Amino acid sequence: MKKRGKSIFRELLIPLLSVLALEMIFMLGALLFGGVIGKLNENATDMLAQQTENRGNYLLNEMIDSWSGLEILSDEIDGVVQELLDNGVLTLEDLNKKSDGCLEVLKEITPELIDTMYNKKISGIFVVFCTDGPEDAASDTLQGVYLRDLDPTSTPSERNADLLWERAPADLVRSGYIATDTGWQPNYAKQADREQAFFQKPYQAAWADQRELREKEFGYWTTEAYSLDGDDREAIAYSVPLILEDGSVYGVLGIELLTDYVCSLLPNGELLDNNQGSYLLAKANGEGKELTPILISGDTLSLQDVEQMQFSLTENGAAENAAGSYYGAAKRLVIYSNNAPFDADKWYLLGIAPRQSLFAFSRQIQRLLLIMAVLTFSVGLVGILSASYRISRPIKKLSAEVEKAQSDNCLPDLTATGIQEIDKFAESISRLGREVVESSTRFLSIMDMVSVELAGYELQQDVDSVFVTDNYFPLLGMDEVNVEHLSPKDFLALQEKLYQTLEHTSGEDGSVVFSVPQPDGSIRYLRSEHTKGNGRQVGVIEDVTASTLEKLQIEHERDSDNLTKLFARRGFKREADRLFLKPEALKHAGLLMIDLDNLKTTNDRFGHNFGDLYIQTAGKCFVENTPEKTLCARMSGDEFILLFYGYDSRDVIREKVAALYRAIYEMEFVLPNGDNMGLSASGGIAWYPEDSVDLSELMKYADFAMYQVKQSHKGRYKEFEPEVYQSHLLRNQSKLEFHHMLANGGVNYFFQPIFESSNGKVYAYEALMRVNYPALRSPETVISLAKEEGHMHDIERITMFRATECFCGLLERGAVPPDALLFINSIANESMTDEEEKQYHEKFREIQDRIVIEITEAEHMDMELIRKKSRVEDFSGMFALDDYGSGYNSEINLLELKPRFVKVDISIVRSIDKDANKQQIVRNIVEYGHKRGMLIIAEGLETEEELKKTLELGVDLLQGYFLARPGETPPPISEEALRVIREWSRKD
Amino acid sequence: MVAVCMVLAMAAALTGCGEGGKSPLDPKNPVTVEVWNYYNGDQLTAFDGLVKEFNETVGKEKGIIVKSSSQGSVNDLETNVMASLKGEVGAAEMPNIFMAYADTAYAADQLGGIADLRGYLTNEEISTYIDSYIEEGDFSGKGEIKIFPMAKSTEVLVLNKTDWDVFAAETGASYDDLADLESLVRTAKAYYEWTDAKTPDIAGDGKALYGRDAMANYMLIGSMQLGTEIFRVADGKMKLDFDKATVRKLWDNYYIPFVKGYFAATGRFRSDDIKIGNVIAYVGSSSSTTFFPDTVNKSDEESYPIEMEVLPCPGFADGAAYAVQQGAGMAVAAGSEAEVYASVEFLKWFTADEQNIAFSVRSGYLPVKRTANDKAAITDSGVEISQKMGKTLNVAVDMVNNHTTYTTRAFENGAKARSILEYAMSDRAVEDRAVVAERLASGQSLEEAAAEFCTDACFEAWYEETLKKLQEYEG
Repeated sequence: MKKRGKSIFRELLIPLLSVLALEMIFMLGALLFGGVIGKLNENATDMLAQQTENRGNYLLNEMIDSWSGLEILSDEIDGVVQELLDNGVLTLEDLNKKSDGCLEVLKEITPELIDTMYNKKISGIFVVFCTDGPEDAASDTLQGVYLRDLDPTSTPSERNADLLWERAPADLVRSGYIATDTGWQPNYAKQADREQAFFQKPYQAAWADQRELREKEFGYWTTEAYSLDGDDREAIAYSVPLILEDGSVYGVLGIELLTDYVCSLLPNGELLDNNQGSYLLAKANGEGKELTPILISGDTLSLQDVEQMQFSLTENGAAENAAGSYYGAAKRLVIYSNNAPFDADKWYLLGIAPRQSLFAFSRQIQRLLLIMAVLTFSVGLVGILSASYRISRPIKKLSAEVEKAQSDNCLPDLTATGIQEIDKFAESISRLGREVVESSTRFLSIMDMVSVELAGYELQQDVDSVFVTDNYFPLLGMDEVNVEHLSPKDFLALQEKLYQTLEHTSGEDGSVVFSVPQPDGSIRYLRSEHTKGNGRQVGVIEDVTASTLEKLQIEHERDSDNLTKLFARRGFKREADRLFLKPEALKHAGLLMIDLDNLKTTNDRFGHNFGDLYIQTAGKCFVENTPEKTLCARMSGDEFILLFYGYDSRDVIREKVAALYRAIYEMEFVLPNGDNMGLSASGGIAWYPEDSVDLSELMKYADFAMYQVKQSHKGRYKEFEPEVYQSHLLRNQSKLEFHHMLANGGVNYFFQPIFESSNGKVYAYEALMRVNYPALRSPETVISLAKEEGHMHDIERITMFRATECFCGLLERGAVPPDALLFINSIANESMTDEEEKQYHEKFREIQDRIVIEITEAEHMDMELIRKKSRVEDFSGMFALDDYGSGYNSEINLLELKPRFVKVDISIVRSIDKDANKQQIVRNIVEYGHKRGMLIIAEGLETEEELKKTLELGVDLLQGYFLARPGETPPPISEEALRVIREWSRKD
Repeated sequence: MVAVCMVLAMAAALTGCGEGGKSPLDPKNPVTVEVWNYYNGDQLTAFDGLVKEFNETVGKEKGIIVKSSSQGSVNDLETNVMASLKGEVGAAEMPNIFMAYADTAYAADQLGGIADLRGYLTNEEISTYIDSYIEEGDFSGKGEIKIFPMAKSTEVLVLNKTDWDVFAAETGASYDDLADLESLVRTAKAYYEWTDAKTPDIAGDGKALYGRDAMANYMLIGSMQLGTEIFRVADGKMKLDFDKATVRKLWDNYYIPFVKGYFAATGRFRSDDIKIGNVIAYVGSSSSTTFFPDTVNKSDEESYPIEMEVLPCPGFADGAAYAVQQGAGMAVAAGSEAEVYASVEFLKWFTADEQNIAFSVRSGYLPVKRTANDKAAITDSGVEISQKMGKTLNVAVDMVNNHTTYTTRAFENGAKARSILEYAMSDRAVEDRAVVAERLASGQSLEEAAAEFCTDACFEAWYEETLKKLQEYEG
């Protein structure tokens, strides 16, 4: 027996191993990509930075607040020198040489120096005198003192026992209370002394500066450790020039810090375990990144080491050496004021450490986790192997037993595996095996007895045998096949042959229906279905002849029209859809939609039978008079559709259609009453691909063209015209929008000011309708649609309410003067209902006395309705007659309406300055109106000349773009117009 | 099994074969030993150099890091140690090792701050040190070691040979004239007169020949030579023996020549006086010769080179041969086993012949081991010796070996009592000499000017005053 699938051992082993491997990947992944290591390293650098920051702050504090605070001392020294100068005991020149005066100064200031040294806890303090300027300073022997305290942190000794003179005149030494150091000199005689930076730098700076700055600003910190001649202790110093009141620079005062002492203040042990870190005091020059070491406090590095390592600042404010093996946290020590002479020296305190030591912890963690991973993996691997083996061994044994049983064809009781579930399972299998054998035997005999119309087979790959019911092949018309010795291979070959020889269709469910020709010429339909799986193939065939025939019949009926034997809508759709997928077959096509005229009357007059005959005759006519491949269909009652396709041009189709119509015209048949009747069919054609490539769209267009024919001259045909269709659509759209507008009050009002001609002040506003819909834009369209649709009354209502409402809004916002009048364009032949008038009155009572009803001249003015308008409660009674002089019976209207305002039509105003007739008309109305208390308005003023002329003609009120355009918020009068009006009124 | 046992046994043997006991040190986790000293100048350089050497070699190997810091002067060191020990506000943390004279160590020990090192040294090791040095730290007399000897000094006479030679050539004076105190006083008088005579037009401008550092030593050792021990100490209590006749002799041989201008003391130390040409000879510690200048700056502008000579410290002509034994030892503060152990390891290394001689020849101190405190041993050590140091050690080693060395035993407030001896006579001498100098300047002769101070009454007054002060410290 062949082995199928995988062994249980592998089945267990592989997923468990995969899980283990995944776990490892997650674990290592988390380690590598989780950022833990980075975070740890960051922590390490952060701690280093924090420590450096703290220590730097401490150092900075000492440097700035304590050590460099020499103002008081220098003032005292200045005082002593000044006093001695004043007393004549001392001259400035005395300070340059050994002199009594100089000695006196030094004697007097020494106690102060000692006090300062003790107070500041510094290791040394010094004074150097020089009044000659920098050039001589380099050559002279300089006077002064240099004191040192080797234990600055200790309390001051009695008798100054812990102090040493490094420099002091012999007379001072002789005074006996301070010992000399081995390198003692009586003065700064050696060149090395004079060249010390602590003297030269501040001295030169002060000398060069000409007393621009205070002494303190010249303060200088030496950027290199120095030692005095004759002494090998290294120190750094801070010094300031000594300057008298009158600006004389006479020396330098400074404090000294032994590098060892500074180092003791920078305990590098706090940086990193095992003293691996060091504090480095360094200097950068200006904006430069390179760091020059000044001193270092550390156990592992010397100053020479760090000099060679070339530390520099990095972008992120830290530092590293050139090789990158050291990391430094940098704390900037701002010891100089901005723009002070030595401001370019940027001091830094660095906490430096080898990266290796700094990141030792994270490396340790990494190593630990790696070991953990390896351990976990090994332990997991061993565990999985042993567990898999223990579980799979008994099952394997069981499997062997079952296999043996199969070849023996009897299932014995199986050996227990010791695994409860599997033992139960094995027991069930044994029982089930026996039951299956029994029941299958039973079932097969029943099947044999039951039916001749059902046959089946079973192929089993691994058994290499075929089970086939006896009627299987006879049913398929293959009586000659002997099923006794059929191998699966032979069977499949036969099966393949079936497909080749028999007509067959595939069903959606995967079944196949074979058509098996019978000797009597009929066809037997056999439905075959099979399933594969688990190395087994089972198939069934079933005689479906009866149901198939029935189905075919139904399908045919559904797709065709019974009456005409043409396609029905469904059939047409199917066929056309198929064609429309192949433009190359369609080429040029014409879709002709035909509607039979007069079917209804025919039906009514002669009965349905004759109606049916009428339809049949028409259908027959269409088929007979069109080329064969034309797709003809009856869509419904009296509607037909014909698809001409596959032509090279429209013209060819036009000819075919024309031929068809000639036939239709000629067609005649006899009515039951003996009359002859012609066939009448209205048609519409839409073109493929010119009008559209979409079937349903083409049908819509053809239909549209057909209905146009139907509405005009029945019995003809017409081609689809896109322009007509579009305007039809637009009209429909405008109507839709119009109704939307009515329903939602979607109309706005702009206001155009009307000005007084005497002074240009706003007198009134005319409310102008604004509609804003995609298709519906102009008020004229609105009115024409309203007229057409019978909604004039609604327009009147909306105008009255909305215009007043919008105006009230402006009033509230103070955008219009409170006493301005409002002209509302009312429709002459419409008025609000009583109910609406009441509402209007309630809502707008406040401003009703300022409303002017503007009546546009109309052909037939219904004076009754107009009078109704004036009966609205509290109405001001003011009318304005619009468009005066535009053509209707203006004079009559004038007489009947008796308006308060007359608006001269724009056509009169246009170019009035050039037309004497127009001027005369205006002159007349002005004269007529003024006599009757009417005010004359010139509207549509667009040029300066027009304005001037109307002013000249004595018009009272002015309106037009030249003065102000309409606006949601009306604009003020234009400056030009105002100027013209003012000029005119001045002339008056 | 047998193999395993053997390996274990071998490992035990290896680790145990060091000092006979198990070391509490771990090189991976080193113990830091803080050392306070009061060295300056060359001594400090020499000491720090050796500390560095220790840290880089033995210290690294054994897990000891020594950090040394100078506290400036012996008094500062003492003040700071006592402040730390008493836990005063602002005091530094107690160091592991500090340099201490017996008095200081004794005071610290009274507060329980000092470790007994007897347990850390074998008898054999102890016997290699000079007995009297070890005895100095036995406060109770029961054999404890509270002070570890490290470097000692004695006093020598240091001479500006260049200027002396001029004087000797003209007057026929020789080194014999400097051999005892009485001769020294005489020679100083002659030198004063000789120099006075150099400027015949200015009277009374003679120069001093000699000065002295450490006046307490003069008083204490001088008395011993004359048969009197001023501070007799037993069980930490002092019994005063301020014998008047003895003290008078000390007075006559210091105060009298001082007010007359034969002796002088103006600078802080006599080496300072040599530097500024105030004196040409002085008695001071052998270690002070490191401060001996190469030039004299007579005035601030001019200087000239001088040569140094070292002679034995002069005593009284008919006195006993006593020499001072000075130089502080090292006291180890009570602390953890590891700290004390590490401290002793350092001190043993430091006092091993090689290191001790190296320190000596750089600092002027004397080695503390019998084997090292030997001229041949020093010469043969191979350490480079400067000429000055050669002369110093040559004389100093002889001094120690040919004299009975003496140092006061520790007692309560011993340092204060000692400071009275240090200043009582010298301050008075400086004060009175100032009066004499004024009088000389006003034209009096030396005899006239000094007459007031060269009387019995003058001595009596000073004696009574000083006696009273000293008696306060009697136990």
